[in-house]
Amino acid sequence: MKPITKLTENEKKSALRIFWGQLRKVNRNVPEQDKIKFLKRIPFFELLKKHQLDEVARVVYEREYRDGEYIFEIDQPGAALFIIQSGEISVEIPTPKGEATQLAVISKNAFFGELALLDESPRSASARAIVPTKVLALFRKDLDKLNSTNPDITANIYKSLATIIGNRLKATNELIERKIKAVA
Amino acid sequence: MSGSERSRKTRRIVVYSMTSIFFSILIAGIVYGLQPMILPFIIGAFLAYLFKPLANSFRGPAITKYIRAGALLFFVGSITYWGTTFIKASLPNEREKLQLKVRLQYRLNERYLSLMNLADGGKGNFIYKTLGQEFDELKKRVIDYVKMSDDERKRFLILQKEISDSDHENKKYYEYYLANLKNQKVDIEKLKSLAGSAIVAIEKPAGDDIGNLANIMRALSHWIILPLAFIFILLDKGQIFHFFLRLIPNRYFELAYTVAEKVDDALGKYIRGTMLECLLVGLTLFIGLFISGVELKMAIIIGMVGGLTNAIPFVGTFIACIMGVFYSLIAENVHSFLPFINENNLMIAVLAVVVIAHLLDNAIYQPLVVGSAVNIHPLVVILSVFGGSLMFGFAGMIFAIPTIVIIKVVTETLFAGLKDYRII
Repeated sequence: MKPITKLTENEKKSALRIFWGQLRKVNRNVPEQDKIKFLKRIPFFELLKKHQLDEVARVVYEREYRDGEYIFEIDQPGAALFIIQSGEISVEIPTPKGEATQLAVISKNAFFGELALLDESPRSASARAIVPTKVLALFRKDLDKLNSTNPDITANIYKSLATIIGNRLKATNELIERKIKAVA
Repeated sequence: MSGSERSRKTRRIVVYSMTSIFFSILIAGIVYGLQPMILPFIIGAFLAYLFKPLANSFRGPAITKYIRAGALLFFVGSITYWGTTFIKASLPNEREKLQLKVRLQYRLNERYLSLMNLADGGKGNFIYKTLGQEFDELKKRVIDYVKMSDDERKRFLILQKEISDSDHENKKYYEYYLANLKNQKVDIEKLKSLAGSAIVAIEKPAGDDIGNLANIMRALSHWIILPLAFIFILLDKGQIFHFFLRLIPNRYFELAYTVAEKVDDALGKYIRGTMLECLLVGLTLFIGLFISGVELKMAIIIGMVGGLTNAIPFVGTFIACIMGVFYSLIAENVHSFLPFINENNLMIAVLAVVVIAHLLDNAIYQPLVVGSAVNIHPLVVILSVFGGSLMFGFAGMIFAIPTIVIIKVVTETLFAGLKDYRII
């Protein structure tokens, strides 16, 4: 008979982590695991750990849009952030003549409508699918709920959001500076 | 639009329409076939909805969702079991019912005589001298309403005979009974002889027990759905909502989510707020009445009934008032925590407690716990509750208020949303 060796605290913690990890894997189905794998690649969620991504995956909604279909239109109240799983989205604003000016075309792994995670202010541009597109939607209300149950998750998401918005502000400032210099 | 796209659109419309019709018929069939299971399911779902925030608040590495749901089911089950057992035990049996009638008639008469200064050969006070005839008429009507019929008298005498001589508490009702007859000028000797005549109890056929057992088993098989609905809806992490939202067309996706969230928020606030308000009113009534000298069991019953019915504006106060006054009329040996309250002024104390509970409800409980919830006019609440009970009985009464809240919030939010999203 083998002598029974006592586990150290760290070994106990590792064993428990493996045990709960296995249990979680058993609970998850294949599409959900795919969703988690996909979310892990998005910069928005890069600070999140695996079990935290698990919680986020539960509150995101998968939607499929046909070619030409609007995801949202300018001036509509913003309620969700969208992440492109596949396909392409045209971000555009309408001109007074009724035509649309394309601001950008974004594709897989990119996200848009992130300001809706902060408040209900109207969308500043429209988003239209230009090919059949799959997106994931994360609603502000779900994030608020997650904040009350898992504040560590939302803290990381908000941190990423702040960084992204900060970077965009910097880029806009630089653009304005360049334009002013060009005019001068 | 090209020809192939047009035909695809047509095919899509046909497929969606056919599927909708098929599922509508299927759902209608299921609802019709499973009618007895609908109420238990709705109650289970309703309880789960009510307790979901509580379940979510218990978090920790060792507390899994199954433990949370199990613990809550045990908690709700225990409360329900305790409540029904207590109410069952509090309901008077046949003898107690008859004794209550005797006691009420006796006490009413006694109170009237003392109030009008007619006791011990008194000639009546100023009120009696002025309005005595009208009051006598009113008292006669009330007494006629509570007095026993001939069959009840016979039954009362038989049941009183079964009481042992040492049981003075129950024996005194015979004295009350005789006093009541004397007041009504009934021939006592004739009635005493009636008691001797046999009253044959209707014997139940032997098959009845088996029939009852089958009925109980059938009811149980329907009600087993309640804990199942409770557990599964409590364990649900939004899958049900995800499923229904998936059915919404892309154009209405954000709008549908926003409306559903607002309805959920308003309904949750209203129902949980109202429940908490009812609990607080019930507790206030119970504590106030118990301190005033109302016996413990009765104080709990009035608190429970008054608290529960408080969800309907004014009805809770009214019912608590009626029950309290009724009790104070027949109360004997009052032991109040307040030295100045006795048998004679208990009614005033009871009325004061009901008024205080009502004022506290209006001034503190309502603004504090239901303040931010959706505002529904009291008349609408009363009409919906009575309308619900007329149309769907007990279930209609319970679900009238949530339905009104849903209709109000959906209407308000949906139209605002349809305009914001420029759909209309």
